[in-house]
Amino acid sequence: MSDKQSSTRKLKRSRLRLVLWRWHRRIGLVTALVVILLSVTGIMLNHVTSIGGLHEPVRSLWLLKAYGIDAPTPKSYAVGNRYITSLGRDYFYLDTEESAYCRGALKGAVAYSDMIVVACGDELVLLSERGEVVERIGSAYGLPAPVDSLGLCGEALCLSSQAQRYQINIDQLSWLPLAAEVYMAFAEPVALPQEYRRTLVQNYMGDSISWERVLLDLHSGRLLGLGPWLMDIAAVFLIMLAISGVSMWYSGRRRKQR
Amino acid sequence: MKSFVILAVLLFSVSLQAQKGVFLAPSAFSAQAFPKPSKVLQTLWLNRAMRDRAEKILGHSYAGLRQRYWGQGTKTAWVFEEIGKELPITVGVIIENNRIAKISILEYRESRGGEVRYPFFTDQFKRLGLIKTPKKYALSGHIDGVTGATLSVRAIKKVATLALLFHHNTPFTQVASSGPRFER
Repeated sequence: MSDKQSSTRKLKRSRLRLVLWRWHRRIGLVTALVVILLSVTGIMLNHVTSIGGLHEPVRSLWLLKAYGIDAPTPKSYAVGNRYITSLGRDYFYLDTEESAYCRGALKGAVAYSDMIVVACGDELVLLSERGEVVERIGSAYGLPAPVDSLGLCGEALCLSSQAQRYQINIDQLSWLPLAAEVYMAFAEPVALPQEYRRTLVQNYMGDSISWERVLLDLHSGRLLGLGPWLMDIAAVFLIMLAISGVSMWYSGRRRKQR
Repeated sequence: MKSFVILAVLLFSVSLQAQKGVFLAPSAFSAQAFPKPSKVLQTLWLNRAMRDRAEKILGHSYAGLRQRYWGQGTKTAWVFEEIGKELPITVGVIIENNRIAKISILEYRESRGGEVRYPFFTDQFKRLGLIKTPKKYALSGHIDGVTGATLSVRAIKKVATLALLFHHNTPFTQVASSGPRFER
């Protein structure tokens, strides 16, 4: 082998070593973050039982949003010192307790004749003072639907449906159409007290997501929105680091031996 | 071929639409039961024991402390809503002399199973009363099902039984020796 061929081979080897070093460093830097995340979450998951609070439900709204659980917007009506609230589903709450199913969106609530009358889009629900459901009145009893609003016309109970107002006789279940000029004091939505709101929203969000679940999802990369692919790429990078590291160590060792 | 597919889809969608609808207004139903204007809307207050029985018949909780009905003489008329598969079916039941005189489907909301509104099905309930077996309340006769409407049939049978139970707890019930055996 001539000196020229030998020096060309050496030059090629040193170039390859340089490229290998450069990519080893780059991949190492990129993978370092993921390795730290994996290691920290892995250590924590290994000690789930001894780390307090990991079984507690997540209450952070932005974190729950990442799981597709959106915080509801309460709509409330004050009835005396009590509150009827809907969180957007076909149920309403009396103060902070789930009270009854009610078909349609919540349209109003008023106190009437020792009862609380709650109007939803497709039915009226009568509650006793203790919050028991006395009766549900839907279209089967001639309720003009959809109900747009509920209120009082003087002493009488009234509702509005499709731009027509009706005076309600709750005993005989009659719906007397009223002239548009008749004054009707509509039940208006009010702001729910903060403590009620917090309790309702927390109960609504449920206890389904715990901090352990968040750790597991961080560990697998699912919480970052890339599904398992992020950790798959990190695993491939780690394999590449191992191969490039071993090959560099081996070539360095051979060079020293020479 | 294309026009055949379009026609088939149209026919299918029309048949689905035909299943649901409002077939009888509640006012028309009560007028059927009581043609004279003297009919009066009544209220049946339900105590805990009655609600327990109602829940046993329905197989789910019964929300309400009272039930409205129309009553006169020995006749009562009831309107209930009961879920068949996913949506409530509005059913009217007329009871006379402790037996079902007529069942009408006032409104059917599901996309399938609307056959239960036809007389071939509802006429089966005529003249049926209420019996109490050691375990449950039941209709005094057999009701043939309708293929594809199993859950709706079940819901209507429950409503018919409930109406009979409630009827027996009104002042309009007939205390007759010839009637079916029934314990309140």
